[in-house]
Amino acid sequence: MVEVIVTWLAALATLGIYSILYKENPIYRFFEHLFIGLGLGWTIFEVWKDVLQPKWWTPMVVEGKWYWIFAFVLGSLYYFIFSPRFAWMARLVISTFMGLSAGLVFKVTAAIYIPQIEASFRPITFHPSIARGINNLLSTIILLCVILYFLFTISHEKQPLAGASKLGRWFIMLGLGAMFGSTVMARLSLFIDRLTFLLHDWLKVIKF
Amino acid sequence: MEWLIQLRQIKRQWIYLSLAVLVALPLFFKIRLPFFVGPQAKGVYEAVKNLPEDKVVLLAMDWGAATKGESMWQAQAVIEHLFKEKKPFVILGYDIQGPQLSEELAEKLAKKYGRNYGEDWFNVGFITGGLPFLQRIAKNFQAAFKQDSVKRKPLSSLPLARKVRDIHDIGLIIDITGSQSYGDWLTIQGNFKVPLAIACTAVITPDLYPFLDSKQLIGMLSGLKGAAEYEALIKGSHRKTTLKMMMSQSMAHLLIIILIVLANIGLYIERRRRSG
Amino acid sequence: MKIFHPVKDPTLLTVYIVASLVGSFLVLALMHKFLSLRAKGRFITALTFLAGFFYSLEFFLPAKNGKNFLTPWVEPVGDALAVIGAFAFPLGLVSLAIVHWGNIKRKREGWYFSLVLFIATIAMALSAFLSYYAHLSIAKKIYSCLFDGLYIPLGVAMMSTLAFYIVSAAYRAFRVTNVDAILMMGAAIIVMLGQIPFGMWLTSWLPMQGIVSSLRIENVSNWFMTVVNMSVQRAIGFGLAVGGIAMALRVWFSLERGMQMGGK
Repeated sequence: MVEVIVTWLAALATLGIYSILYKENPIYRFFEHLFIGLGLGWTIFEVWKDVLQPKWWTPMVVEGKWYWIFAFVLGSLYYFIFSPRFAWMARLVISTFMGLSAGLVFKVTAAIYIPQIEASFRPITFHPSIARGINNLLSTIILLCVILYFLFTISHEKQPLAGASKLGRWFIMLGLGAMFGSTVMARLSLFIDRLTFLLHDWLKVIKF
Repeated sequence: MEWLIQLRQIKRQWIYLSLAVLVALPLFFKIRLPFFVGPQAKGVYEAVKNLPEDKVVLLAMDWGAATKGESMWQAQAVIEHLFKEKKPFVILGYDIQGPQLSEELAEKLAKKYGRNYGEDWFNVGFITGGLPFLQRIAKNFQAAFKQDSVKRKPLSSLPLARKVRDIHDIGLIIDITGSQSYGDWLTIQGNFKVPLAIACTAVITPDLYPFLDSKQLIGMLSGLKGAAEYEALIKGSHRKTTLKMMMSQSMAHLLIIILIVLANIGLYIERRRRSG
Repeated sequence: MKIFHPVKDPTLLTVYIVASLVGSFLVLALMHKFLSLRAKGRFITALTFLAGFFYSLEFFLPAKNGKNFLTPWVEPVGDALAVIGAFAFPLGLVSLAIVHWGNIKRKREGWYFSLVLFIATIAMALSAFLSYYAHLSIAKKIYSCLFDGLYIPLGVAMMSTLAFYIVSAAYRAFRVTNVDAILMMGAAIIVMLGQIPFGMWLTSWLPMQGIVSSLRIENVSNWFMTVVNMSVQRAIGFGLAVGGIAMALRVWFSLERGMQMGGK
């Protein structure tokens, strides 16, 4: 019984949201606000259940690690952002977090990009495989042209930099086209999934 | 010729209706078209198949309802493969919804394959703290989590969880993501040299090819296509469904190409008329 | 230090917790009262700088057996950050609540929708807590209806409307008027056709093996993504990495506008 109610609610919610495709209307606004409210309520529960209760409340109250109260003090400083007079306290904790994140950037960049730099150096030989040689040559040219395009501290007015920079821009266009093609598939997949639910799970007019 | 110029001004409601009808058609009618599996999906498949006996897979469920249309199918296929091959796994996630939605998938599939929570998989739920917390998990998994998120029992009470002490007990990380969370997992991969595969939404697929090339990633599933490829490889329960959805995808892509061509034809004729 | 050992006695625990809260409040109150705006700004700058030192030093300092003197602190700091980060989650919620409460109080247009928001929040939170902690079966049913029946489908449906918008936007905006647009269109069509069974069918008459097989659309698309796109994305990634380091240094040294308080 609950499953039937859940399916019908889901179908009505989906159709309610899709009503925006015709035009703005109160049904859409109702479901929009409903969504935000449900999200708020669920986030409160989930943050308590998976983070605060096992990692803060239990160690502090059950295990006796009283110093975890300072995590609450530091965490609650965030909320002073709403008060212009006391906003500096929120900046204390926000800036500390930003500092920690800034410090992490070196480690992250090294871990992610040093292998990338290594992989950029490719052997441009046509033995044993001509295809591989051509691909490596093409990759290197594309890489250098695109990097050159982003170098704004040197002038690109004279050749050969002007030509290389133009090539770089064209290669970027190819990359953007690839991103567009991928994005189209991503967005359409979401709708296809919803339509499958409406036709298969709700109306049961299709079978797999 | 006037009608060709009018093709530039089709009302959006007609476009939306055409999209809905064209996408629905393959769901009603059987359309048989070839579908080939790419090398990136095969990489993920081989990584799971060749996982050493004493290792566990870490499934990072960094997705939510917003990307369910792609990520859920990927998660379903990966979990089914893990159950089929009897590879143990642990679920966690940066997204607040991911671990819960994946748990529902795992429970459904566990019934089909006779797998048991705590022995074949366990779930530690939603995590915060970013990369510092991932490093914490990597150094001491048991100390990072007081309990699992499903039974709310200490990890020491779950037979599988007792085997996961630190990152060296993890043989493969599969990050199923709809966001940029892969950056943190790439850092973990770089620091600890654990094989990493990513199942991502198609939007971020182009960004990940450099990491495939440098072997930082051993495989990748790209959106719904990746899920369909994986289902085909594992001969999964949902391979017919995902294939049908790819047929719908075909129709939608064709519509976009046709619309763009029509709009540009109209533009070309209009310009010729103006200049001539 | 013994004072940081766990305390088993509930009374003593309560005393420690209350004393810490009062002590923290006093310190913050004194700082607020006696430090000038400039001094507060300098204090924040110093704290940011020290915080930045932690992870960067831990990374750069030579390690013996994979550890330096900062490595043992990585775990407790990671735990603390997870918890403090979790306290930040409700910030957005509080912001929303303030806005919508304002709507209801002032009876602005559409204020009843804000009421729906609050009712939904309370219903979801209550049903979730009661079903998880009190194991009430009615709460579980209501939670299932709200979560599986409404919350998840609404989220998916909202994102899925983007499919319609992208089709409409591509139709209206994609104008092939210069070389750049032609290249972008060409790349998009190759990638789009290479992903779908229809595209694979178009070139299915070509052999699967041999040099001609590289003209099959799925192979062309794969080559395009693994050679051309890969190189472009790598180059863009390098640019982002350099920019990221520059930005991190600016944040670390508090050179960014808005990180100063009362000064320039």
